[in-house]
Amino acid sequence: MNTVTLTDLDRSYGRTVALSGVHLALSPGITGLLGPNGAGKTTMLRILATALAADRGSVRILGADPTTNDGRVAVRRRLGYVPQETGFPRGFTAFAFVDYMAILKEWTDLPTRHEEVRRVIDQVGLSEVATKRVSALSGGQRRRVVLAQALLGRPDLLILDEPTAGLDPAQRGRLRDVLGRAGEKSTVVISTHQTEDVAALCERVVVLDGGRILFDGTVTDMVSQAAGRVWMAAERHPAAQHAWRTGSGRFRNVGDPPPSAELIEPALEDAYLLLVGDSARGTDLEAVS
Amino acid sequence: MSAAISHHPEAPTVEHGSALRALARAEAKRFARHPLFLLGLAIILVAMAGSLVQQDVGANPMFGTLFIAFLIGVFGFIVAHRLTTSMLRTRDLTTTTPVSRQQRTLALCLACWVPAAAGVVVAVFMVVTAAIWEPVGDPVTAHVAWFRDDPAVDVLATLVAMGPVAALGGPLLGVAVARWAPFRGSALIGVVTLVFLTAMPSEAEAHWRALSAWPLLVDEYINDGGGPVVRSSFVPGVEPIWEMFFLLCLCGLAAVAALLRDPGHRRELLGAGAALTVGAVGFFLLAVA
Repeated sequence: MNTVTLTDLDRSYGRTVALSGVHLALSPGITGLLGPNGAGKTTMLRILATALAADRGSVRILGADPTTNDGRVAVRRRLGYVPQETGFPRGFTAFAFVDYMAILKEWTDLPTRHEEVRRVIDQVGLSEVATKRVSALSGGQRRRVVLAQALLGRPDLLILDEPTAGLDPAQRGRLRDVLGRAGEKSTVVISTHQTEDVAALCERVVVLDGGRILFDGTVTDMVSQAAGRVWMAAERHPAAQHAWRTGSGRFRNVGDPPPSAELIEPALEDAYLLLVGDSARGTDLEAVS
Repeated sequence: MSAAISHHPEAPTVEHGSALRALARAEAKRFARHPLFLLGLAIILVAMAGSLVQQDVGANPMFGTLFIAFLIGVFGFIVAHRLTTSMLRTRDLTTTTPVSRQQRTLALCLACWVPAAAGVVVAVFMVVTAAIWEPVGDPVTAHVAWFRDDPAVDVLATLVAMGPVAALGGPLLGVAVARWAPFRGSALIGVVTLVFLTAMPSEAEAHWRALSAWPLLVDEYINDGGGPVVRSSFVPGVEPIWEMFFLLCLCGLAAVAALLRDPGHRRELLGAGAALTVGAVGFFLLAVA
């Protein structure tokens, strides 16, 4: 059953088109949203989080219409959102901030609320610094404070805009565990530049570029699109769209291989680079013609 | 209305409906803990303790309302402004919660009972100490006869208007200014304007003084033979009781103005605003009649 349905969605900022004709249906599970900067990922997530309205098209979230006030409130009661960037009010400890957010999420009974706040703070591994002021926390810890408030009430829809930014590998591992559990029952949408996070967590991946969906399918399907287009060589190959020197001293080339190329198993990152690269080349060709 | 929503079988039950009360409580706690509010209270406590020790026979007891109006009212303006604008940093988070910004504004307005209560406590302290300690010394310079010579209703109205009402009005105005002008520096502009308006010169006409929020006392320079002394007395031509109601209406108008910043309950708010405006005009005319 679909929990989110976007139909023919448009959104512009002045003359800049952020989303154009987007169709998307999501169901419980973890969906990764990939795309270059300015692809429209944050705009899409903000629309899903009811922070932004679309210019055109239909949005249906958890059975409610977020263009109406009642629908928005209904969605927000079942939503957890981690924005790309957020500041914190001065003077709040990590616990106090999450507690304040819990009140805004209508957790009114004090003992129950505090129990829930402790649960989410523990879940993101911040119990030891819960009484510290947010301003005294590291960037990664602040990011986890934001994540903690998103997990309040085990939301049915969890939207995370670059949640792994600023996290160290151990914290990322912990985050994957938390999100993996959330994705068992809820619809989780993660926008990220880290393809390895998507490969590790998501059963489905959506690639956005220029406000349009370039790919929507499983991670395996996306990786298979790069099969036969990744090879190792002693040199950077001129036909490669992307090439870089690896730790072994050899070059990993991604693109259209020469006949005698030493093909290797592609990764999600390779498929992403090819997809976005092909799209850009297609646009260039269209412009030339 | 209260509705129970359970997101998942293991999720705790969330009670909706009393979020405003919980939020107002949280905002009141933030207000009460704000360093500037505490500083104002501390200065008042020191001044009160000093007056107890010295049995301040040479001072006008009503002069203490200046402390309330400035240290709670004007400081409260800044505190309320700060609390209101502090959450702008987390706009993306707070706008995606079921509690609307208008409800948050209302909670901030309700939290202004904290400074008002502090104003009441100080005013009661003034009444009690003035009643306990029999005034001694020159009755002209001491001007402590206000309890005996002036009508009690005028004395109490003045005390309430310049004490608790000023302590309530300042913070409410702070919320309104922060909602309509949430930029850096608007608090300073607001405070300067407030002080300028209330520091009406003694020689100003009664209706101008009545329009300002500090109208009920006027300094008189008296030469009693031992050198010039300053004493305060009621402004001639201003009825304190109506002036008090006029100022209360201004407090209500500040709250309505703050709430009108966001959509929702427009008709009720405009109705309340109209009633308060009519009340303010009526009480003002009665005050200066």
